[in-house]
Amino acid sequence: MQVLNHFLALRWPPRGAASPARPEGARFDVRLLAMLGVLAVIWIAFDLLTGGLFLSSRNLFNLSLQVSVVGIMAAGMILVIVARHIDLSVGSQVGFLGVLGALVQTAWLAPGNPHAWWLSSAVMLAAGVGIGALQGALVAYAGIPSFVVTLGGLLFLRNAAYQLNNGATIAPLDGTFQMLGGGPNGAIGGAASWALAGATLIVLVSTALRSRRRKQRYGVAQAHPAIEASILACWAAAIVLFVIAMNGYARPSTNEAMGIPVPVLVLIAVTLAISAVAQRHRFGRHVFAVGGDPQSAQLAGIDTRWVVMRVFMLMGLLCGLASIVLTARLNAAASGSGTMMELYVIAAAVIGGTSLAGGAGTILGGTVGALVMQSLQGGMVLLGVPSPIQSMVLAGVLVVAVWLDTLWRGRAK
Amino acid sequence: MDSALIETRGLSKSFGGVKAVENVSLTLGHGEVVALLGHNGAGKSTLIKMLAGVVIADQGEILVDGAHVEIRSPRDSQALGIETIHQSLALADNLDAVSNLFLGREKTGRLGFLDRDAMEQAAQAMLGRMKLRLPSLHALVRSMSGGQRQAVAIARALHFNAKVLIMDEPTAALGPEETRKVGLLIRELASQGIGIFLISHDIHDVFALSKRITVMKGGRVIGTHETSAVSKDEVLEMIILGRQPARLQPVAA
Amino acid sequence: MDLQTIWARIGSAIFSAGLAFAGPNAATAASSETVVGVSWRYFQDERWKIDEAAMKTVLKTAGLTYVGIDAQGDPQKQIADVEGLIARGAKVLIILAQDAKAILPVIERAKAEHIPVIAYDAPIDIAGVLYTSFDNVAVGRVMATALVKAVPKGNWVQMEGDPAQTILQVFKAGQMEVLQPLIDKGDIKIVARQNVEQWKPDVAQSLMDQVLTANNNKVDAVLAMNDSISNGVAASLAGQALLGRVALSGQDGDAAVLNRIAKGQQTMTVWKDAQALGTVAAKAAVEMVRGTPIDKVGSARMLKTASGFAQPSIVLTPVAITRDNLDLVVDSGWISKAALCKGVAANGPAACR
Repeated sequence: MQVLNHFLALRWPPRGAASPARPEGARFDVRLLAMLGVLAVIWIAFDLLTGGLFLSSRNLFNLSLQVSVVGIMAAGMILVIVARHIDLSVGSQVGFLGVLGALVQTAWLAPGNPHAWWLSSAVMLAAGVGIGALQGALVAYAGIPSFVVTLGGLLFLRNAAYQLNNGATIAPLDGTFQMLGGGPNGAIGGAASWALAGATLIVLVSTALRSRRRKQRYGVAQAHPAIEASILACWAAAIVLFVIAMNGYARPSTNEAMGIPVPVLVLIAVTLAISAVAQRHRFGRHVFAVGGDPQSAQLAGIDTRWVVMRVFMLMGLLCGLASIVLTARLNAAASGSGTMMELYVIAAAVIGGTSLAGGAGTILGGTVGALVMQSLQGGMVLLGVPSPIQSMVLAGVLVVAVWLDTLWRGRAK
Repeated sequence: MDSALIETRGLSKSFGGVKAVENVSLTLGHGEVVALLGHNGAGKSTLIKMLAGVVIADQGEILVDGAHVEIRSPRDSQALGIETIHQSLALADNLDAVSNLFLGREKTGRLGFLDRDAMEQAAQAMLGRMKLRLPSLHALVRSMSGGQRQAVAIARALHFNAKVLIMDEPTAALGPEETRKVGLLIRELASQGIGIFLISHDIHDVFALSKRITVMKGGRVIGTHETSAVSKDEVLEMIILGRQPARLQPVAA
Repeated sequence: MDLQTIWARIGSAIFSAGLAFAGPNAATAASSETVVGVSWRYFQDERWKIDEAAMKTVLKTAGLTYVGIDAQGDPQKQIADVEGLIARGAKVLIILAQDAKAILPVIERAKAEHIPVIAYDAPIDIAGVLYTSFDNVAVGRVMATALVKAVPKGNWVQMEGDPAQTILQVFKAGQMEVLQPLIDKGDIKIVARQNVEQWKPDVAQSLMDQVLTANNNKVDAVLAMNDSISNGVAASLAGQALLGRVALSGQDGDAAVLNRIAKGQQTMTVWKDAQALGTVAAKAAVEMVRGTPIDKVGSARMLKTASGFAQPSIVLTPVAITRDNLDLVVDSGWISKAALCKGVAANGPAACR
């Protein structure tokens, strides 16, 4: 390689100034920070307008519950959109899977069966994956546009949900199952919440230290320790504040702290897991490649069709999870549940920075997007704003968010 | 060497009713640079894609080191030591250099989680060998110049111990200085025993770098000749008119 | 036009085209087959299958053919559906309108073709159409009266249905007849009023969470406009251990709600014996097929619509079902005693002992 080195000693002309470092595993996601800033502004504004009610433990507790269903689905939808597809059937999946699970509990198992809660949940998750596999196969292997396949899914499943139980709402549901939806017995309590927070902090710090050592060993560039430390400190503060808020809400007619509700734990777990997959797993990397440039992915040897299929299967699994939470929280399975929810999920993804052109997006952004929308809606109800105005405001926010995002991307090029 | 590094015998491929490649037989030996010339639609890209595993041949066979092989996917091709740098470069614009260098062949730890540090370390070495200084290893490929992107694509191909390198129009988007550098690289690689298929429309490059020239038109091989034994005009005649000039005897393939 | 509408229109067009093709042949081949066409507005709601079953029974006995289509909540699709039914050769049309104004043109068309039209449950403001319904104003009145009886003074919350459906205003009119004087007197204070998108229970739950937060749980009664909404409100109340301590209304007599009433967790629901209404409408259709002019159908009397048109109308009276008269729904076969009394404690209502 001597000859090579000698003759290649010249520089390959670099392009202009530093381009924004924003790969899928961004070190410093400016856009996310901006969104968090917007969220903070919304929270403070509503808190002032409602006389301190918005930032009360109770409201934050409710807010976290209300966000969970959309947040769980948004994580999956983001990967679908990143892969340059769309899933319009998620709302109908939630309704269908809810009725299915409720039927398992009430009709197909004997009443009072102690295993009803996890059996019905397992059925819902499996069915969700199955629906995802079917839709995924039609998109990936039959080559039918995902818009068409999932629009068909939307109509088919909505009516299938009706057919399952002739449209009758099934209520009430199994007591243990109910806990999965929050409610008076569906939170882990004050002590457990602190324990979880403490464990999380320990894991965060040790992971950060291990990562630094590893990078040093490999000779890979890393951020200044002060920067990493301050990021860690911000996360620590957020976690502590979160637990304080959740613990500040007492179980009705008692003084016990509720702690973190189960659906929120599910949401957090899903967000972390899918985020890890998106940024640190081979599958996530392939999803971004397929969405960013399907030809290149194909030529590089990635099985693009199998990637797409798995993306839809994952979405189906998350629909199952979201349906469990929604149905348990409502303590009822209605075939109409989840109608139009796909729009809110897509809006959350888009507000959170996922580009509808594919190839870009962060999971955490979607969660923040869902938070933004739900905060606005919940705050408006606190203020007694009439429903039509609420919808108009949300629509306006969606358009503004996408417009700002387009400006940002244009500037970044 | 007993057998050629790569040999194709009677390779054919049709799309619909159209014969994109018809009965193509070629050889490539160790350390040889063979140029493929022809107009758009002559079948060069399809032939390359068959070797790269992107397209599966209808008929004919491919032999590597004298042994018959089946290439049904890009992975098969890569496993045989064939690295292809497509005209499009096959880079994902929305990912950074490190991700692209390992695209489809990521280093993973447990359960498929990426070993990002190992890949970054390897990337530093790979790009260092190409003497490529990027403002940041994590800048997205879409922000790079044509020359930088080409360097990334070549670095990727070289990393995985290629025996055969296929380069489809490697200098089409480059300026003269960078073209010169690519030319030097090709000579260097050939001198190490790597066989190179070079598709180029630049006849001067072809004459400067290749040992043998194959001209294709309409999916068929018009003729294969040692570069030293033909003139540029005769080659042009083969490309444009699709027939051998009278004076030449075809070299036994 | 949104996508569901486009899809629905394409589907309906294909359906209508299919029918039209089949039309002449079907008409001659089935000239022995007399069709009564029924256009549903949104078959997903629990109740309509009961109406449908009642209609089918009556029509079958009379030797008529029932053809029903679901507009899936889309006014445009409903227009296409009715056109399809006309093309199919329907001798009488029974229409449950999604949007009373949008449906007018196609009703005019039916009238021009001398096809009698029955406006089912949802009022349509036009002359020359038979109106069969429950007294929907009475629905609101009955609901509010029962709730006032439970909570004559206090903080009330109004959880209303989807504003896109015109029937909402009719229910509301009845409610306000009862409530307005009490509000003016200061006995009842409306602390919150929200519309529930598509009457969805999960939406109602989230809204109620916010309302309870905003009022620090100081809510005494919730006027939920239908059972679907009351399901969501109940879940929200349960989360605050308020279920059974806050008066709650409903409409439609869904099984889950009746069960809650039996358990003392809900105050009432408005029961409209859908079977009775379906039967009445189908019987009127049979009479009209056999030639009875529209204003001479038995038991119809002339009522005035909002714009002053005279409409022959058969109006049934809704009943408030509370803990005390649950036997009505059991005796009529609407719900089985087992389903009604599932999980009811020993000191349950009379109907469960």
